[in-house]
Amino acid sequence: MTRYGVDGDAVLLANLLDLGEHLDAPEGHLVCSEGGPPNAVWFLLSGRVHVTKRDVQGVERHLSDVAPPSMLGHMALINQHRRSATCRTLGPSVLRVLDVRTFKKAMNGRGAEYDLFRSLVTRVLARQLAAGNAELLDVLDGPAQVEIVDDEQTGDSMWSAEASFSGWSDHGED
Amino acid sequence: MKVDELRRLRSLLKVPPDQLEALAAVAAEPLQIPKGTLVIEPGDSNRPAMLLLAGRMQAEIGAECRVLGDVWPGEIFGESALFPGGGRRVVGVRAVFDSTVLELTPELLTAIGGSDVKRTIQLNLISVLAKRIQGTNHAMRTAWNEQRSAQAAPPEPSAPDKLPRHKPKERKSELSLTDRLRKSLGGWFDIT
Repeated sequence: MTRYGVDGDAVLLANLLDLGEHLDAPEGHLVCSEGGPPNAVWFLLSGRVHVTKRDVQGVERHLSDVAPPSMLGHMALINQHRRSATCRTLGPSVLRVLDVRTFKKAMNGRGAEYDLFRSLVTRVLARQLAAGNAELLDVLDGPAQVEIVDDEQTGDSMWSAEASFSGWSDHGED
Repeated sequence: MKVDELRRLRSLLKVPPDQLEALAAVAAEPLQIPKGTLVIEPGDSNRPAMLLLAGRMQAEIGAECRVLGDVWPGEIFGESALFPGGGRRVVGVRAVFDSTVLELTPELLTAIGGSDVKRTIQLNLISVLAKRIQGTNHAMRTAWNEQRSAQAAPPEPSAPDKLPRHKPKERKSELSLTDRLRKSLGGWFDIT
């Protein structure tokens, strides 16, 4: 979890993730479905996850491809709402799955590893908010406000922003 | 720190009595912010994160200072300062009432350490950040809808000699009920 500034506590974090289930997912494995229940959070340790969402016409639109290390599905558990997108593995992937009970225990527990977990979640959310606000600023004040006339271009930018807000931003490779 | 500020700090952060004095000793004196003051400016990476003890703040974004949401007592704002490489601040925060804030300085955060107060702050932040993400999401949809509406061109008026102003309706033939049924059912049923 280098990207989230928790490098020095890797052992503690590994111990916490051990509370979850190990998942060796093949290509095309359905991680979660849009509209599904908030029942787990995933840590992508290797591989890649393809994120899609239905538009108002019901057409599946690509939001983002998520690279490791990343946390997936946390917003639904924190906000207690149904899944906002569908996730499938793009190739063979390794994930760690924390069910809702384990997630709540990690969020409320006392101890160094739980402190670290909360710090990680906080960092992920802060990054997500910063990315979303930056996208919003570009829409409000940037060139897009004046120059966009192409619906397809507008649509792609909107979906890119949607990815940021929903937590599915492509973080890129480590 | 004044007694009522100490009480607010204890209440908001759930500080145990035995830790309150120690925290108060390292905490900076709370700042009194007059209504209308821009407490955090967009692009300002120097201001530390702050805890709102009393009053109300508003988060703004863009050249037109579009309101993203409110900051209520007990909520932390300017949180990007809490993380290494916290990122560019694009949101400003302004006091909408006379307010009191406590700067979350490195000394204070070190004093908090691994205590229950840190846990309270973390849970506070997680809840607040999730709420703000929803606020930004909503603002984004609003902005996109406004843009789409602005781009929709008004309909051109039709040339008067090209389109009739009134097209008379065709009179329906007066068919019997049987004939209408036969016509609508397309010959599927032999209605006699």
